[in-house]
Amino acid sequence: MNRPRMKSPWKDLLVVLFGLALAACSQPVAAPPHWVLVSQAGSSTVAVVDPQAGKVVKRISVGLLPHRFLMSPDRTSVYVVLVGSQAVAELDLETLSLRRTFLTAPVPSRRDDGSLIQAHTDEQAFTHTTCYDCHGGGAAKPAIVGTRPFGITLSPDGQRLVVSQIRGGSLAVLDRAGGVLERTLPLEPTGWAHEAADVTRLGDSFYVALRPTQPATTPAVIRRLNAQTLEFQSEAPTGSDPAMLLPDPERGRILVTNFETNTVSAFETSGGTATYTVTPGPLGMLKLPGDLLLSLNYYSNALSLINLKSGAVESLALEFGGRKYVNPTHAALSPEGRYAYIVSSGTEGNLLVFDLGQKRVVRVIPVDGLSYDVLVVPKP
Amino acid sequence: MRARIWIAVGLGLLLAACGNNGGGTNPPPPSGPNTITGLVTDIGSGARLAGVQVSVVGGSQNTTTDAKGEFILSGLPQGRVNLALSKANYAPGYASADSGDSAQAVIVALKKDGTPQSYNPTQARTLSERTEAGPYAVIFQPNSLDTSDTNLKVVITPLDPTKEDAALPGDLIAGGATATPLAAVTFAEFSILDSSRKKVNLKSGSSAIVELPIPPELRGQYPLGAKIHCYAYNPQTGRWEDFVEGTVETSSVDGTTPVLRASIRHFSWYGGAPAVQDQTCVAVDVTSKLTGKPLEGAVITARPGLRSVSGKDGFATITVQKGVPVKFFASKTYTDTYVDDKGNLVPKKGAKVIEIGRVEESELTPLVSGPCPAGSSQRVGAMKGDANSPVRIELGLAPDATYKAVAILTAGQGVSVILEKGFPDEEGELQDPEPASGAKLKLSNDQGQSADLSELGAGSGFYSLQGTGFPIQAGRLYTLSIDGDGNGTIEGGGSTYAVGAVNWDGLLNGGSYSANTLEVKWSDTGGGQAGYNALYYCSLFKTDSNPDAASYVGSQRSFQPRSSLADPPVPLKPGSYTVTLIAFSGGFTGSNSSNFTVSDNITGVGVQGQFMSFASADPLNITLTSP
Repeated sequence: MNRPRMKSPWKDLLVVLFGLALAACSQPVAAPPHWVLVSQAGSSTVAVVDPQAGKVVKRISVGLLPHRFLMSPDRTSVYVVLVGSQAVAELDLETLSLRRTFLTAPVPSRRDDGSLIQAHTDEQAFTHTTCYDCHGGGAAKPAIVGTRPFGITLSPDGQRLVVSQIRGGSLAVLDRAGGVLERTLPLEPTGWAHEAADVTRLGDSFYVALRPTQPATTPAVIRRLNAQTLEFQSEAPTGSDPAMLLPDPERGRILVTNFETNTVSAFETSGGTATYTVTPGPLGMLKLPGDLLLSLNYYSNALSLINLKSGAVESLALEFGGRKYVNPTHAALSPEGRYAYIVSSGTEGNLLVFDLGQKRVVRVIPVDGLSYDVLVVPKP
Repeated sequence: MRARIWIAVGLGLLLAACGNNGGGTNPPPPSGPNTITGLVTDIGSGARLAGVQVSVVGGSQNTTTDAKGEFILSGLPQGRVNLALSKANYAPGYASADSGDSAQAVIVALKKDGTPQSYNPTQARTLSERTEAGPYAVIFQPNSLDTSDTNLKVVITPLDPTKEDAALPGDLIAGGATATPLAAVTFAEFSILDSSRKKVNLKSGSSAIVELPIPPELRGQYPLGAKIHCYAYNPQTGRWEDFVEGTVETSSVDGTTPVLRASIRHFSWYGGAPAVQDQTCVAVDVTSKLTGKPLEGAVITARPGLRSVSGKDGFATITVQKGVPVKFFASKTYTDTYVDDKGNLVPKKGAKVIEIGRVEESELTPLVSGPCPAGSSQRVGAMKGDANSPVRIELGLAPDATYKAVAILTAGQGVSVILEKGFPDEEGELQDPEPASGAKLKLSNDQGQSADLSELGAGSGFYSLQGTGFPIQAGRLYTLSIDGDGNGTIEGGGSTYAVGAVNWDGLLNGGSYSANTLEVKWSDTGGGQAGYNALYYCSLFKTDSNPDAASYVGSQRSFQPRSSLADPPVPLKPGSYTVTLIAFSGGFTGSNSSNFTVSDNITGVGVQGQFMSFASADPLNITLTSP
């Protein structure tokens, strides 16, 4: 039989004290000053976002279809892969400006069919370091050109950039100091998989995602190369459209988002694999403190919070003020680790500030449509 | 060179019964808050569509278009309002407008839907709808649809943006903090209906593959292997979303047509449109034909380009794609107003007036290179009344009737237009058409020059450039603007290249050639002009006791003849052949290697038709020998 409980004043006081303690704990940890960079593929720019002010404070014109970011080892420069310009842009973080561009493949003198590209000779195209100089709004046609570089990583010594090229089916090795193309490694196709969609490094190996021309249902492969010699080591099949590779050094494995098959795969260097099923369209990934991984699920307009230890997956919506935000692509962690900055793409672009503790969007900052990657950089 | 565009907006569309004469045009008529009016037409015939269901997406308001194809929705929430439009036998239509301090008008064109095809979703299947551009296809994986119904109908409605961009839903822009225009390449609408005609979509996590033909005019820009961003229209948000890269590949249906092949997750309107990199900012002046004054609050849409709203003095700046023809549409609506017999705007409770205007410009002088700067709504002094020759278009009331034009452009000669008017039947064909006399037609070239056409005899409905001396140069793009009832409103128009003179290259009459190695080549005097695109139809045939034939339809200026009577094709049989060549531009499209079709390329509100140009080479007689 239940009896009514006596109300205790001590209990009330404890509740109040506990509440005050909780409130104190939830005060925001002061984040070091920082900018948030967003690659805006539709407008050939990189947006510099002040997350405190909640607005874009600068737009840096870089070249056609800027996509993936990479921070330099000394954190003074950022590299932006220009998918439409056959180049990489180097940004100076001190001045938040474009320092220079590197071509990821030589300017061709002939087309695929062997015919001469007379305009490249006439316009002295071979002296340029990005196709954007001529094809980015000038009279040169066509607008869609080049080897379509996409993924980017650093060599073990940090002196070189290694860039995967979708259309070229190759890796470009660029000397960072000189800004020159040192070597191009053609990648032998495996079955229908021939487009080098992404590259990353874990220890002394590079991992390359080779996919079939999209859309496809045939498998892609994750190929492991010796990071010093670029020699083939091994490879394993994965979903037909691997979107991003992310090293997981704590567990000695590479994480892969399979965009078309709605999974995140983990390839261990020892050969084992694990698979996490997420909501449709996993694209970008963000490692969080502890054993957590955030998967940005483009087609389902949602996030998946994956516990890499237990395998548990939690789905999180992207809503703010009663409005749903679509097509998340990539995310970056704020310096104090409290927020994830998430790019909501589609034809309307927004940078979503996602509170990882509250698991909800707490702020929306408009950026350009068709934005893609995001990177947190120190404010000088 | 043109520094600015004046769009005189002036199509007054009477709604509601007239009455209550009196009143005047000063002060300006009201344009009530939180109201959207609209006019709905058929993109194929230009006819107004009655009985179209119009509903607010995510809201409860809905209405139906009246006999004039018009509607009004009042009491809407503030902000962007997305509308869904539906009518039997038409693909779903969508539009967006801003609900604010003054009413806005939307002009929506619907397209007749494709042929329903049966599909059992437990099976893998490729279904396609063929047009003159090639096959539009959807490739299903088994059990990928979110239904247990096995008796589905799949409807594919193709849309060629080079001719029918007005039927594309929503704004084709990459918006956000800074908007960027998207350049439409190829689109289609995919509807899957169950036995109760309820829409079915893909299961969460499932996908299908779609193939959309690259329009012949754009195939040079998007060769095989090119990557193009693709989008699906989301009616809930009124935005194009889910952008992924598609690849230009060869059609899996016919094995020849270059198609944009991409993955799709939501069946809706879908297509490819890369972001426009080469943008420019142009100035626009909007005036009302009804009031004769600058028009504030007119909504201006440019394609390819962005959207803008005119200020108090009718002035606006708008970002457009540089170096290509740009279509400008403008609309303005008044509430509690009608137009009297003298063209005055008169107060009338419950009535409304919609004004629309359009102009197409081939060459623009930018106000500012690159996109319009934020807050660039102020006039730039250097551009106001400067020496650059502006385009001013006087517009008036739109007709109730529909006009059909057949126009032929000949390089070095001129243009001839036959214009008829009538009321279209359900198939879009004019019933008992009669010559459209008294129309105002104008021909413009891509250098900003233009000339008026005149009617050859009152009542003939036959128009030409007689006596103007306006040059028609091979390879240049020409635009025909049509004001069917001659009241100042441009109701529609279309463009075509002036086909050049075509001549054989290296092939001689009476010559003898190896059937195995012969390559038939020709030249076209229009070929040196930028952007020029012609369709060539070349054939070789012999009609003796051992007949054989080969033909080519395409935009190349050479081909290697192979017998169309053999499968697989082999060199032609030895013998005497007649060789013919015809060059086309306009609504002509090669449907395969030996045939072509003609479609409407003149579109507008109440206007349809074909604007074409063609030329032929002297036929040759040659002899083919054995390899």
